[in-house]
Parts: sequence; C-alpha cells; structure tokens
Amino acid sequence: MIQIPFLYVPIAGVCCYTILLLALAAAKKNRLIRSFMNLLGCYLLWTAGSMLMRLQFYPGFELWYEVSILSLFCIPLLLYNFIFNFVDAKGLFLKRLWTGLTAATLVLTHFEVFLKRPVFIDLGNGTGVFRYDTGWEIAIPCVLFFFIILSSAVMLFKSRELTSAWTRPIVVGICFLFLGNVLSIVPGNIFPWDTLSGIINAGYMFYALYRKRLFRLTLLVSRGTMLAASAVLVSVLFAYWAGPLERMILDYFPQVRGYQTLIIAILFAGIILASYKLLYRVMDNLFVRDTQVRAQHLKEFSLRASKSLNLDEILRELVEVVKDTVSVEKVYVCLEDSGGETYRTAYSASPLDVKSFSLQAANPCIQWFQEHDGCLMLRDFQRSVLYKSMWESEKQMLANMHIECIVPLKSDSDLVGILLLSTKPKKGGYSFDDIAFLESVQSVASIAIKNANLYKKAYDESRIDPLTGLLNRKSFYEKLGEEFERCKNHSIALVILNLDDFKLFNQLYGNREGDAALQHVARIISTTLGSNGSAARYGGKEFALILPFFDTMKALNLAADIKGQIANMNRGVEGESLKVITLSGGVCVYPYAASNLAQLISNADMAVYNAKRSGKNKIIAYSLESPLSQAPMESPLIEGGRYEEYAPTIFALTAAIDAKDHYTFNHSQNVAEYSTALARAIGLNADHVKIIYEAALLHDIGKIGIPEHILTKPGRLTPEEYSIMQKHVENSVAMIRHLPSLDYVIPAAIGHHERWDGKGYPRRIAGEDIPLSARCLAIADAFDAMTTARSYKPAMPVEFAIAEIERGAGTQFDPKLAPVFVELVRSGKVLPKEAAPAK
Amino acid sequence: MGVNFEEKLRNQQYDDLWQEYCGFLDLDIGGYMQIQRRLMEEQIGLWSASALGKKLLDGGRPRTVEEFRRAVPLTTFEDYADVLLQKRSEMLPAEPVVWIQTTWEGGKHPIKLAPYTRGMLDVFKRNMVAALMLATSKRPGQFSIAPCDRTLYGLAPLPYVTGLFPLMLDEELPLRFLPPVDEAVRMSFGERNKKGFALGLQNGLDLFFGLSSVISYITTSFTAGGGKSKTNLLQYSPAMVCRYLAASYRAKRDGRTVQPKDIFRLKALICAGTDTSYYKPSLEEAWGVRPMEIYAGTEPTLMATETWARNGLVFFPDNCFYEFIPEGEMYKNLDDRTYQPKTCLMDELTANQNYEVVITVLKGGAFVRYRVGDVFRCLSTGGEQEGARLPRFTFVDRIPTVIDIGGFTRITEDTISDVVRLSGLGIHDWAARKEYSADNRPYLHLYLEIASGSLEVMAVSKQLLREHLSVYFKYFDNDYNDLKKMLGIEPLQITILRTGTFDAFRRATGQEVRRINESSFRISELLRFQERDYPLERGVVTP
Repeated sequence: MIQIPFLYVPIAGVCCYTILLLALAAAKKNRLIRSFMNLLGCYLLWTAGSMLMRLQFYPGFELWYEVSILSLFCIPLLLYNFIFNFVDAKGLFLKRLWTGLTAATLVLTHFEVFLKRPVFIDLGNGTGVFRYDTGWEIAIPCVLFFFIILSSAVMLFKSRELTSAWTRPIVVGICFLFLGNVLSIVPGNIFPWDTLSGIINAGYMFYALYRKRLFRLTLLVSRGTMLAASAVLVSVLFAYWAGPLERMILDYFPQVRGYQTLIIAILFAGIILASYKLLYRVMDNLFVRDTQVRAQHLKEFSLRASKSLNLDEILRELVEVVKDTVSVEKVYVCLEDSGGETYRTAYSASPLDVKSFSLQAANPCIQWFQEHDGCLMLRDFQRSVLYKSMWESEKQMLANMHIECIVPLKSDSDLVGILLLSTKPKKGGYSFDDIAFLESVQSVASIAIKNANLYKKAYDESRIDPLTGLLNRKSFYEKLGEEFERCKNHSIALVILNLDDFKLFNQLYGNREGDAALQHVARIISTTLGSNGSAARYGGKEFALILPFFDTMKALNLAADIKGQIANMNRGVEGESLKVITLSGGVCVYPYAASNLAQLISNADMAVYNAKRSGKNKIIAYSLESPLSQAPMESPLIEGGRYEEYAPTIFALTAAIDAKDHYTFNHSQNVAEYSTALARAIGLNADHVKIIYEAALLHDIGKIGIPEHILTKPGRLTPEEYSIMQKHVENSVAMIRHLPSLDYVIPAAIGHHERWDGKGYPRRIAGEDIPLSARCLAIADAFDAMTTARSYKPAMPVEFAIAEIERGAGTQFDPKLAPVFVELVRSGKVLPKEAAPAK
Repeated sequence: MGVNFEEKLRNQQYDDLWQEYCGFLDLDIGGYMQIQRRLMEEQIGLWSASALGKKLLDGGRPRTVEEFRRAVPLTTFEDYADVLLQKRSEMLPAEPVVWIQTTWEGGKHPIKLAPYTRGMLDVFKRNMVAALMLATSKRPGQFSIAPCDRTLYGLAPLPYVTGLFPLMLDEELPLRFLPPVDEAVRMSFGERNKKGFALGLQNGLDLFFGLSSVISYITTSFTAGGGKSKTNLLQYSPAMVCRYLAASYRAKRDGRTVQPKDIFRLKALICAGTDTSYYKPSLEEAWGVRPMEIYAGTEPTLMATETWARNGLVFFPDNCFYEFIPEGEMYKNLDDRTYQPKTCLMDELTANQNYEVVITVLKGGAFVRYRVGDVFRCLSTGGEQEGARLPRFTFVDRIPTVIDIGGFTRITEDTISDVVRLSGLGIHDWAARKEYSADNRPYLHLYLEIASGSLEVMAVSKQLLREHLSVYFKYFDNDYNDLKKMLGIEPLQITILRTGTFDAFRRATGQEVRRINESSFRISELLRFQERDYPLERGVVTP
C-alpha cells in the first residue's frame, strides 16, 4: 500500500460523513434533509474515492479516480440544491439549467474531455505522486461550477433569512470550503486543505439544520449509530496504524519477534473494548436513552409525590411528568367529586386550557375502568360494545379536545380520577413504552392523590367552614393570632360583619335560600378581599376579616365596598327578586383602637353591637370616644328588665288593632294564652315562651292594613278578597321590622299560616323549616278561630275543634305538637274562651 | 389537531403563514366591516341570551347591529362590577377559561376582572403571532422568526393580561423567554427585568417586548452604566464577548457611551403603553431597530398593531367590534354626564380626528359598548396602496379625566381630591395636568394654591408639598410607587399659585378650571392671571 501524508484527514472526513449520514438516516426526512444527505453522500464518495485512489486500493486507482472526480463535479450542483431547499427558493429555470449542464459535464468527464486520467509515478521508498495533465479544457467545468456557486450565493443573500441565525452557519461553511480549496492549490502544499474544509463545511450545514430544529439531536444519535461509527473509526485506525506499530514493536522489542501480530491483535482488542466502554459512557451521559429518561422521571416523580400531601402540587407534578416524558401537549386530570358521580377537571397542562368539562361516572369510558386497569385508547374503545352507549355529546367533547388516551388513576380498585391525554403531535401514536410509563405513573399518582384527598378532607373539616368555604371560627382565632404576631410592629385590622335580620331571611325563603345567601356573601367577601387578608365565618351569620397592614380608613373602605356589593347581590338576578340583605359591621384596628389581641377582638365585637344598636345597616369603627362603646354589653333579646322598654310598644300596637277590629284583639289575646300554654307544655324555656307570647299578641297586627269590609264580611271571601286577606302576614312583618327591638317575633308571626305539608302561605315552607314558635301559633290560631264566633260563622264546639286538630296533625299541623295541645284541652289546662256547647 | 405556527415554519410555508396571520391587512374597508358585522351578530346572540345581557338589556332583544347600538347604552366597568368581581361565570355569554386582572382606580376600587373565553384566547393568540411577524418584517410577506428566539420580556405575569403573551405564544411556537416564564413568575417585576437583561447580555437577544416606559428605563440605565452589567464577562457566550469588546472599543474611540445597538442585533422591538410615541425615537436610536407599537388592554385584549411600515396602528378585525366617539361628543359627555354621546363605526371615520374608542368584545366576551377610556387619533381612513387599505390610528392618551404616566398609573380627580384631603395640607384649590419634560418624559403637574389661613400656621415649601403629597399618592396607588422605583421617573411637579388666583380667575372669566387636564392655553391663562393685580380687576376690589 502506498503511504500518503496526512491520511488521518480524509479518514476523519469519511468518519464524519458516515456518522452524519447514519444520524440523518434516523431522522424524519423532508426535501431539505434529503438534499443535504445527497450532498453528504457526494462528499463521502469524493473524500473516500480520492483517499482510496492515493492508497491505490483494490481494484486500482483508475476506478477511485473516476469516483472521486465525478462526485467532486457533482458537489456544486448538490450544494445549489441544498441551498435552494434551505431558503425555499422559487423558480426552476436555473435549477434545470445547472442540472443539465452538470450532467453533460459528468458525461464528458467520464470520456476524459476536460482532464486526462492522472499517471502514477512511483518515487520509490513507498511514496509516489500522481501527475495530472491539464489543458485549457479544464476551465470549462471550472467556469460552470463558479457560476453555480455564485448563483447559490446570490440565492442565499437574496433570501429573507439572510439576517437570521439559520443561514449564518451555511455562509460560514461555504467560506471555509472556498478557503480550503484555494489553500490546497497553493504550490508546495501537501496538506489536504480541501478535504478538511469539506468536513468543516458539512459540520456547519448540519448545525444549520439543527438550528432550524428539523430534528432532535438526542433522537438521532442512538446507541446503534454511535457503535457503528466507533467500529468504523477503530477499523480504519487499525488499518492505518497496524503497519507502523508492527515496525515499532520490532525496532524497540526485537525479542518478541514472531508474536508481534498477537500483541497487535490484543492491543487493538483492548482499544476496541476501551472505546466501546468510553462511547457507552458518553452515550449514557450525553444521550441518555429514552427508557432511562423515563425511569429517571418516574423515580423523581415518585419521590416528590410521596413527599407531598398538597393535592395541587401532586397534580402539577403529575401533569408535568406526563407531558415531558410522553411528549403530549394537552394533559387533563379529572378527579372524582365528593358525591362520586362526576369526574371534574382539577388540573391541566396550561392555565389557558378549558377546564369546565366533566365526565359522569356513568360515562362508558369511566365504566370501562371498572373491569380494566390499563390505559384506554379511544381508537380501540370505539370498537368495543361499551362504546355503543356513548352519547353523541360525550363523543363530541372528547373529539373536540383531541383526546386519544385515558389513563385511570386507580387505587385499591377505587377510581379516584382519570388522566386525559391528547393526540401526540406529528401523528406519532402512543408507543408500548409510553403506555408502560403511564401505567407506572398512575399507580404512584393514584395513591398520592388518594392520600392528599384524605388529608385535604381532614384539613378542611378542621379548618374550613363547609358551607362558605371560609375559615371556621377555630382556625380564625389561630390565623388571627399568627397575623397579629406578624403585624405587631405595624398595624392590623379586624372587621366583623353581621348580617341584619338574617333569621327573618331564613324564615321568608327557607334555609336553602338562606344558605345560598351566606355562600353568596362569602364569595363577595373573598373576591373583594383577594390576597389582602383572610376571611372567616365567625358565627352563624357573622363573618370576620383579618386585614394585615390595614389602617382604619382602608378597612372601613373595604367593609363599605363589601356592604355595597351585598346590598346589590339580590338585585336584578333572574327569577324572584329577594329581600335586600343588609349588614352591620364593626372595625377595630391595632394599635390605634386596641393594644392587644383580646382587645382587638372584643372592640370589634363592640363596634358591631354599636352598629346594631344604632339602627343596623351601617359600619362603625371602634373608637374610644364613642359613647356607645362605653355601654355595657347587653343581650339584645328579652332579658329581665329589658322587657319594660318594649312592653308599651306591644300594648300600643294591640290597642291599635283593638280600635280597628275588636275581634282580632280578643283573638290575639286568646292565641297568646293558648300558645304559651303549649310552649310551656313542650318544655321551652322562659325566653322562648315569652317570645311566643309576644308574637301571638302581634301575629295579626297586619290586619290593620286590611279593609274593614273584608275583615267583617259575613259571607265567604272572593278569591281576590282572600288574597288581600292573606297579605296580613306580610303586613305584620313589615310593621314589626320597623321596631328593631321586636324583630325576634317575626319568625313566629310570619309562619303562623304555614302548613306542615308546605301548602300554607306566604312562603310555602314545610316541616321543621317552619319555626317552632310559628308551629305553636298555628295550632293556637286555628283552635281559637274554630271555637269563636265570627261574622261569617258561629262558634264550633271544642270537641269538633280538637278533632280537626287531630285530623290535621301531619298535614296542617306539627304531628308532635298537635297531640300535646289536644291533651292540654282535654285535661282542662287550656280553657277555651267561648265555644259552642258540644252537640 | 391543527398544525401550529412552528410546524408550518419548519415546513417553510412562509407565504401560507403570512396569509394566515397577516392576510387581514390586504382587506379593504368593506371586507373588514363584513367580518366585524358578522362576528358582532354572533356576539349579540350570545350576549343577549346571557343573564348579564338580560340584566343590562332590561327586556330588550336586539337582533341586528343597529338595534343593538340603539338598545344598549355605553357602559363602563361599574355596569359589570357586581357580576365580574364575583366571577359569576354562569351569568356570562360563554364559559371563561381565565380571569384577567388589572387595577381599577387607586384607593377606591382595588381591582377589575375580565373573563377570557377560549374563543377570545384563540383570536388573541393568532393576533399576537401576527404582531410578532409584523414586528420582524420590513416589507409585506417578509418576516424572520425562529423557534427559540431569545426574547426579553418587560411585562407583568398572570393574572395580568401581559402574562398571557408568553403562554399564548408557547402554544404556537416556543420562544426562549429571558428569564424562563416559570422562573419569572416567582420574581418581582424589577428582578425579572434585571435577570432577563443579564441573560440577554450573556447570550444575545432577538426580540424585546415591553412597556415603552420600562424599555426606556432599562435602556437608560444600561447606557448610563457605560454598558456595564454586574454579570461576569466569563459567563458570556464567545460571540457576545466579541461584540461586547468591539462595542467598548468603538465607544471609547468615538468618545461616547456603549449603546444597546452596539451589542445586540434585535430582530424586533415591540412596545406598548401610554406615551409610547414619546419614547419611540430614543428607543430607535438606542437599539438600532424601529420599535413596533401594539395596543393591548385587559378588556379589549390585543386590539391593534403597527405593520411593517410602522406608520400607525391597525385594529384587528376579529377580537372586538369597534365604535368611536368623536372628540366633540366626548367633551359634551364630560360636561354633562347624562348625555349619551353618538358613536361612529370604522367605515365612518374622518382622518386627523381624535376618537374615544368603544368596544364590544367578540367571541363570548362580557363587555359590550364598553368605554375603554382611551383616545386614538385617526391618521388615515385607509383605501390607499398595499398595507394601508385599512384605517390607521395613533394612540393619543387616556381620556382627559384620567392621567396615566408611563402606562403605570390611573390618576383621576377623585384620587387627587383624596390625596389633597388626606394630606391635611391647606390646599385651597388645584388643577392637574399631564405634561412632558424637555426629554419627552411625562409627569403630573399639579397647580395649586394654599388657603390663606394656612400659610401662617403651616410650613410650606415646594419640596415639602411634593414629598408630602407623594407619600399620599403612594398610599393610594402602589403603581405610583413603582414609577419612582422602577422607572426612575419623578412623577410629580408642583407649581404654587398666588392665593386667590383660582377664585379670581373664576370671577373674572365666569368659567371653571377643569380639575384634570385643562388645556395648556387655559392653564397658561391662569398662570398669567396671577401676575395681574387682580383685586382691581373689573374695577372692583375683591376681598
């Protein structure tokens, strides 16, 4: 074999081109990548051809000369093609022209029109040179190539992306190519600059394509590619170094003559082994294979999920790990709601995803998981029997979201949630590895989610008010303590908001509407508060706001803002227009109006009390100078001496009704007597009995507003008159409302015409939704109405009245109270005032 | 799943991309209005059927655009506050995907919330990409965007509208945000800008998005620091080291400071916010690229963009239905709040007139006939050559009752009244105006006079007044605080008028001085007035 200088350059070139070609063979190909591969192939043939020609490799340099010269002459055209595709140029004329001319040149080259085949001149001592006979003809292809390269350059410069980072490597690469070729024809030069520049050029082009993100490097450089490349590299090295090494061994260690082949073989075996190990390491570290990445991701996820009890955090980790490892864009986690009937979206890959959808537990997709544990591919599912029961809307929803795979989150056969994954980009389906990974992730995630759910439930139960979602009273005190410590050197405001007449609201619309109102109020409070503080449900109809760093003015403004929104909340909503809810609020701010935590709380409470006492529907800041705040805390309800204050009001009102309608006055007195007897009999306390007594006195006070001709009409009332008559209940309430000290009788007064079965008026509430006091009044009222003479009917016998009450137990009257009352009458503890003798 | 921008870019479908995203620029006004009207009809149907619509329509059921304009009065955020602040999704025309937040009015109302539906986000996304393409383009059909372009991003994260930008763009093509979005959300505004700029210095920058005032501040700080940054030169990429050294050498040679353009090769500089037109020339000078202005807001989303020609804003046809209140009508309404100003549509504009913009958000949005509170000047009604077929606008300012400095504040008469009242300073009367310094920087100029009784018992100096009032401005409005801290702007200037000037002016002219943004002519009259010996004005000695 002939020795040629700098043989390692073409060897390196061949290796580089081979590696790049192998790498690109694995990539998804398009026009551009194909044209680059053509160019690379051409470089490879040229470099390898010229190397083998100089080595005079079998079957002789003539063939290798032809390979190398023909591929060299192809390079300009292929370069043009590559750039044409790279800049997405238009117009095919030049392309066709260059192709035609190049083809002609190749044919003529084969027939040695431009350049005669070189002649090998042996210089002895294993070296030799090729002598080329060049004539003027060679200028023809040179001019052609010059123009082709020129037109490539023009195309590149004209392209829209000249300034972009993508084209820069190509320009630099071409410059190198040009420079290398110039250097190689400098007289006296023996270094293969042209080959070296070809390698650099190919590298730059590869980089340009990579910058254009046409492929992913990690995917290209697979273990197989690298091993093949290393085998080629070591084999070439072996071929090149074997001879010199043998000579070196014989020169320095003549004693091992005869074993040199063995030594070399062992040496190279060692090198191969070492290089294999080295490449293995490099691959593992730089281009960790997919499965290892997956294992690593799974391990990290398991670690983080097992450490956390925060549901949001776990879901975020879950979505992240799935999105990154399986490479899908859309990932949704739906979790089972507390009723177990619906799976609602709890988290998704992007904050901008639509999250309002849910899947019913009866959805066939969910049903499928009752018997299966693995992932559900929608494409397979469409062929199952279960799919036939899918609703069109369910199918449409999944189709709109491009869902392709559903992963169950199953822990101990409980389906705690599901993971919805969209179609993979670029039409890549879910591979076996993907599914295996998802199944491993789900087993970890489902346990973590279940635990986090349990923890959250326990946490919420101990800290959160279930109705409003605000802090409960217990955690309010904890939070207040913490915040107080934090703001000790600044300021902290405490606002307490107490809804006015909320008991009445509940009586008017029932507890369900009352609960909805509380939720609405809580929502207003938390949205207005935002991140400025914390809110708690302080009592049944009382809310507390902790406002760190607030001063009195800011706290008052915020409270007023909330108050305004609450006043508006029932206005203009579709459907029934509800009563306006007002509130009384108290504000106290440390350090201006309190010097410690206990004072802060009690002063805020005091301010609420002041607001209530001074007419409700206002917000008062606690101030040391306010005379009201000096007043001792008193129960606003009837207690001991307070009764004297409002007793005259009750008498004045009853006197008013007496003046208008004497019957009603007497009736009220009777009802008061009967109902208090009933209240005592069922063991109510003295306060409650007193409330019922007063409510009974006032329950028909609204009749003042009913025209006299209706009140005293002898015959049956017409429907219109009857509906006017029914208004007396609301009239009563409207009148009593203006007497803040008497509003506690409203529930009883408003409910005395309600029926146990919900068919009464005005609110048609039923059962125990009707206040107990109203249920007592209802029986007493009916009993007196029956046993007294009215303008339209004579008095009924007591027995008849008792029988009616017994008959109405469970429909009109409370089934427990009715027998008690009947027993009272029978035992003579209740004496009817005037009744017809029994027949 | 649809093919996104990035994929088309990879497949080199440049013409398709241009047509898809920027094709609306080839529309004539007829085609533009057709899109507007058709989408508006869809929105009328959605909105009128919603509980919010029923509440505001009060029984009306408009079907056409004209009926709708007659039936629905112009609205402001007050009209939506009860529904939107409590996020009552069930009352809205379409299910919101995300709620975007902004400040409402310093001191009085903490925040405004605006619901965004998926449909709105999709339009936003496409228009965002269109703006990005236009920002890198120098002629129609040409643009230069690559995945992983390094993008410096001087804007606030979610829940502010600017936080949508990176998320939206990420769905179309992955840009490399400096610092990365998930890290950025944990940083303060100032930290984010600093870190982003440092990363830009290390590896280079391709795109720069931001509020003009913020970009300007970053630019001035960079130039003032001699182009130095606290980052270690060793952390720079080799290319950046070369550029940095070359820039330093050139600057030293020419005896000037290093400019950002010496170091960065920006593809696009995209800016937004009040006063952008004042910042643009200096930004172009410093960065070597012509800034492109966009207009976006919490309620209107991304509403307008400049084109490759950088000669005015063009409104996107598919995110809002636009109406315009002519300036005269706007002033009539300012003087008489009960007056319903007339509006005109995009094809009824007159060039070189100012208009207050009124929007109806399309695609299931909540706001209809909504007064955003911004004034635009119509530069041209369109109908010209390629790329200028649609009306073009320039953003003038907020409406005259609001003073906005650098896009950061929203100062109203109420704000200043509260500040003056709380300060306890004996300020008898005042008028405020937004003015510009010699180097085109905006500031709030407060003309005030001290009550005569206070002067004897109170320490007064311009410095004291300014500092004292500033404290209260900051108390009311956190954003005001940011002006000084983040933008280095001294936003308040004070001129003390001779006591009695305002009253004397009123008596002499019989007219009131507008509290906010009185015309410069009237203010100079007021200033001249104090020079006079006013007690003798009209021959009457005034008390």
